[in-house]
Amino acid sequence: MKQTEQKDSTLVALAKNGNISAFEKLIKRYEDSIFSLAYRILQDKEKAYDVLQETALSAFKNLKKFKGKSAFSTWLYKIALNYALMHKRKQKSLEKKMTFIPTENESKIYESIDTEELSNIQTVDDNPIKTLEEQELINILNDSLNKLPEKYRTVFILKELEGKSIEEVAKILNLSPAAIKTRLHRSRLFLRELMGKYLNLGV
Amino acid sequence: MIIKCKDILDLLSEFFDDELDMKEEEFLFDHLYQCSRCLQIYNSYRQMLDLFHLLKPVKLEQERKKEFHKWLHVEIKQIVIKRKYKKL
Repeated sequence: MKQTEQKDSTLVALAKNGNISAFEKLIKRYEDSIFSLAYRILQDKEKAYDVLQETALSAFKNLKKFKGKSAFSTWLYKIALNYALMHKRKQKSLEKKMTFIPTENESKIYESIDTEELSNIQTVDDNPIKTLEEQELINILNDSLNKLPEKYRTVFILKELEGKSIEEVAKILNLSPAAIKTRLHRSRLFLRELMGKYLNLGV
Repeated sequence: MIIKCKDILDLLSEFFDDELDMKEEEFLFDHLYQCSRCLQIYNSYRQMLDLFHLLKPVKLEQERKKEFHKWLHVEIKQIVIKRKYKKL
């Protein structure tokens, strides 16, 4: 890990001195992660590609501003996340169906999410998830993610889907690790409730 | 340490983040073995996370990647040239 960071810092130094190839190497190193993060947020490959382009270009234009206080990858993810969230907000304002309007039931879930002991847990005899086709399952997972408020969704995507550590997520979002843990906790509770009817809650 | 049912969700989150020490984990599982309701919560919590972990990483197709590399190279060159002209 440290070696990778050293290599990144070497490439950054070269890129700052005008070495285009060094910058391109850096982008190649993280393009899959950036694309994946953007796709998770936008669920649209074309828009995720746009985010990748915007991120790479913005990183090049602003490279001198990168002082190396965080890892280069963290800085890059921050840029990517900002662009992805910007697209998401545009998408939301354009498409009513993408707007988070909790149903009465979801509102209740959200209100009770804090710490109260969960009641009325659904019990099912068989595992309904087994009867779903793979694509159906993916749609259900993505729909559930979409129902999360942005601040919870972003943390859940970075930590659970993109595999970043709590510390890394904290740096990307400029929040404390404690705040990340709280958001993560709430996002999981919310998702567990949203997915409730598909989960095998039997013992 | 006595674990109460109302604390179980907080503890589960810490457990899945590897934040509990061995003793706390022991208390958690002792409670789960004795409380079928909390065990249900644990099972569904774990199942939910497992399901989301099934979502595979999304990768850019090779052709699209090549296209992106070409595009980036041209864009960067243009920026470099513009910067040079500004300096003159």
